[in-house]
Amino acid sequence: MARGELSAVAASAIAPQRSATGEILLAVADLSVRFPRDGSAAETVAVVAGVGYDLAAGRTLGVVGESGCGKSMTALALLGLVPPPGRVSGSVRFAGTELIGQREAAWEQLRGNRIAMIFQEPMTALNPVLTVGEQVAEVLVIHEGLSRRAAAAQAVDLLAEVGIPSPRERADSYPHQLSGGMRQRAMIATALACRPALLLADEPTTALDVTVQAQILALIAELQEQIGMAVQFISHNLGVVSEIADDIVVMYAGRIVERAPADALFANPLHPYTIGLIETLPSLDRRADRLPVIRGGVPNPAARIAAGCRFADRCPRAVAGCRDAEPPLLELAPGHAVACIRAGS
Amino acid sequence: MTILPSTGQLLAVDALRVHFPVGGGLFRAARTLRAVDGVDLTIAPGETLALVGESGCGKTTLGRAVAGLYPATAGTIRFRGVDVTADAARARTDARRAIQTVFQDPFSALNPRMPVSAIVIEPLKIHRIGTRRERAARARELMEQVGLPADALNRYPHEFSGGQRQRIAIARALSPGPDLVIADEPLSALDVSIQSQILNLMKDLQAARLLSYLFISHDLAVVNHLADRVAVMYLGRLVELAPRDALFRTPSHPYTRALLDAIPRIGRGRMRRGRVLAGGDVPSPLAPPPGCRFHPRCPKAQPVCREVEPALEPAPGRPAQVAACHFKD
Repeated sequence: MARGELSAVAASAIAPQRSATGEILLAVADLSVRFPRDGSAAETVAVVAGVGYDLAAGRTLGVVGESGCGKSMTALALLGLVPPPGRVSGSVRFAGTELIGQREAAWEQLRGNRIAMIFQEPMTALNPVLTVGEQVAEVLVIHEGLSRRAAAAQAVDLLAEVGIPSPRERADSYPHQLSGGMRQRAMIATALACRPALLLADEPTTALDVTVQAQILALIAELQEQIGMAVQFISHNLGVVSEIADDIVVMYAGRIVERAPADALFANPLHPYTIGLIETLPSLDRRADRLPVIRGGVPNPAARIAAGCRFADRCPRAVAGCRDAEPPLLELAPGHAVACIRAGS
Repeated sequence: MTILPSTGQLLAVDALRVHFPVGGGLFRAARTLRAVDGVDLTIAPGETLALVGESGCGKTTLGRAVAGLYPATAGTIRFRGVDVTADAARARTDARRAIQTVFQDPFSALNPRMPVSAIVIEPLKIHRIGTRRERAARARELMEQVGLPADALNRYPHEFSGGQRQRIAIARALSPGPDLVIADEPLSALDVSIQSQILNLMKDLQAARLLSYLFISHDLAVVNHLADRVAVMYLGRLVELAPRDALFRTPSHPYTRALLDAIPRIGRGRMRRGRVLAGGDVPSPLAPPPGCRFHPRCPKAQPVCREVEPALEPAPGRPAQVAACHFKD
């Protein structure tokens, strides 16, 4: 990693916060995250394997998949937070700067500032011994260089912005004193304090009730419109993603199996796994005596992956050729790519 | 108050209250958490009654009280017409065997030190059913019924995935031949591609042996595939109880409508602006709002809603659909 690129990252932190909608903000190419298998240093398991996608400013990318598919690890790699002994390879270009391989100091300039993240469980992601106001203010002190007093005042404004009632009083509350929905709002306030260019949202509504989930999705969409940030929204629930995403990436066992604009994905899903996910989702709009199923179970990421397509064992359309080689992600229609040798046949 | 005649019902719950003392100390009076605060419902043989609502509405407490895991504060629980509200009464009857439970988290619901065979046989031992040989045969039969290989019996819970563990938990519940299974969010901890497998399994088992389910869930989309009738609970009380189709097609209570509107659905496209959302959070059951408990979040609330608690009464022109709202649809 060249030093010159490092300073470019630092410079981007003070660059204008708003980038034009439509311009590519994040370009991920051949991103892999590997962990040693059972302590053996020689052999590794790729929990993310050759993932690539672009995300434009102001757009929302939904990343869908079941547990162990690599969707959260992909997001952690974008923040330089892959836990050791994980190794990241490939390329992540953010606002024109390569992030992979840069030093910790440069990551610290980005995290919580240009790229922010919100998590599934706000109770564990927030610090239990600091008030909500202190946690929002902390971000402003670190990244914007505000005084404690100015940061505290701005924190109250941010809490109001994310729809927390009586924000002045709530700023003095500790996380455990808030409901799940209010905690998630507080975490969003922390994430948006520096008006990030990219928000990574990892199952932010999964622990919430449906009525509160709808409120939080509406809030994220509204704040996105105001700030013009790009959102990478990770979820196991296609229904939730369909409410918020412009484009969708479906992951399975560490790989992208399908990538398409949201409308195209739901109107014409091409990968058998995507089709299965859509069909098996219990729906309000149709009812079957028996729900279609995807047979078998989600593979353990540490399990040895046989040659060929990773979904072949569970796939209703698998043929002998599926086990020969890993199918490449090919664009079958404009913007609609699928990794299946039988797609379109 | 009884809404439906309880004759011929497998389970009849009347004016059930389950209250818990909270806090309190030497010089401080405990407050009362009214988790279930006056609920009536019935379940017929072979019927699935879904109990839906947000977290903290009391649905789990209601299920546990029916299962005999929490004592009732007031009201009655009758099983096949016999009052089993008191634990002593339950012990004299068959209700402990005939009412079984499947819990949400298959990781904590199974004893990690017991092999699957011991887990599924345990209810038979407790209820002194069968000989050793018969129990072993029953265990093999159960594995087949829930779609697990026979060699699963010799293995331990940690060797199984979440979906397989939920199958083991279902096998344990079925083991003593229950008539009513209380399933408390049995799908919530599972991957989406596994949920439909378990849902189909529950339907198959019900068809094979006239099981009744009390299916507790926050997910109306899942309920749509399984329930015969749906009870919607809010802050300890039922706000609507209706046959499934009536509830989904013509929800009567504003809370039911808000729940339905909030469910993400494929094909509706991105968040439409102006969609009516229930604002705010569920208030604390320690201090439920006066009058209608939903009024602080309700788009239809009028002054009367703040003062008079509405009774559960038939929706206009739909005698089988009852709702507790002054302005029900």
